[in-house]
Amino acid sequence: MGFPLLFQPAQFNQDSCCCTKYLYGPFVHSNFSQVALRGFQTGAVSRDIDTAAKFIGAGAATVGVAGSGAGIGTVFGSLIIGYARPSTINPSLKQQLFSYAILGFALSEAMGLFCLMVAFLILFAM
Amino acid sequence: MMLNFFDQFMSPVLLGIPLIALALLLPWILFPNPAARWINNRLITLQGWSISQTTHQLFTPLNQGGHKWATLLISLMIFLISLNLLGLLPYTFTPTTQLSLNMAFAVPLWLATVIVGLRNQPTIALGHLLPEGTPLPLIPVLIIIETISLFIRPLALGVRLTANLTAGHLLIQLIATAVFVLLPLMPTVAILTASVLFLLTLLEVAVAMIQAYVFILLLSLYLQENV
Repeated sequence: MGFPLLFQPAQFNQDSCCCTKYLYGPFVHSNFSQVALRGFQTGAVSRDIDTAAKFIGAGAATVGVAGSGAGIGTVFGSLIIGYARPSTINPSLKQQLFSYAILGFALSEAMGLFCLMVAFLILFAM
Repeated sequence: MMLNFFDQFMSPVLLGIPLIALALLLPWILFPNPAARWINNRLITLQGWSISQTTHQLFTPLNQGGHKWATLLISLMIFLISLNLLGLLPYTFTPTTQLSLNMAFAVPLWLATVIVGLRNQPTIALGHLLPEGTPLPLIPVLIIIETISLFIRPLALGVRLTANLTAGHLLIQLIATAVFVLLPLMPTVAILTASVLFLLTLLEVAVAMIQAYVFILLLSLYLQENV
């Protein structure tokens, strides 16, 4: 009806048409009654309460990455302490130690990235 | 603008042909086969030496039954390392950013380790659900927790690889956009950001190799429990 006139995706996103389908979602059911009142729509996305809540949620969820930072720091600190000990028995223990340190780094990083992924899920999927 | 940053992860299709098939076949042509000669050329000798070093390091803790898995796991590791490293080139699609691919690697391999354990040594495999020396009242809770931990493993394996690569690519794109936008306005800040971008790219190269290695290392650890 009035939709092709008022909801012009070209104003918002010129590059890829695949993203415009995400635009119709928050518009169609929330601003449906206010079609006649709103003069321009490009700023309306950020004014939408739903989008604002998503931003706040994503920002809050990103705090969990701090745990990953603490974990990685602990792992490599312990690696340095382990390296500094006089390893008279077996020099190849250093290779083992480093291998385990890399494993610990990857696991801790994974936890931080799980948290970041939840943040992205909140931002884009829910 | 936010959604533009995720466009790089969309599976590319050209004229109806999914290009991810091409991206998955590319590592195959990068690693030459040994020729039918007594001693091969330098490249193949180096390749063989590095693969055998890695295999030795990964499979020494395992017993004979675990060594049967060496071909599968090492070839998977080479595949993942090459896919991850090729994805760091500009405008290249990284198949390992797709969760479907990583879960397709993680779930069958993890399930195979569990089934091998339950078939050949069911008592020992089930015994792993209870760590040694737990106090008697804690046993029911701990078994539930360990079972949950067991079932989270394939999910964690797949999501770890996906999330690491996706987050890395996203960060690179974000910081590169920041440098590009800042360059006409504040060149000094742009140069600082460009040095951050350089360090980040080095980190991403390391993470690309480490994550593939950790994927296989964890699978070999799960195999060690069960074989």
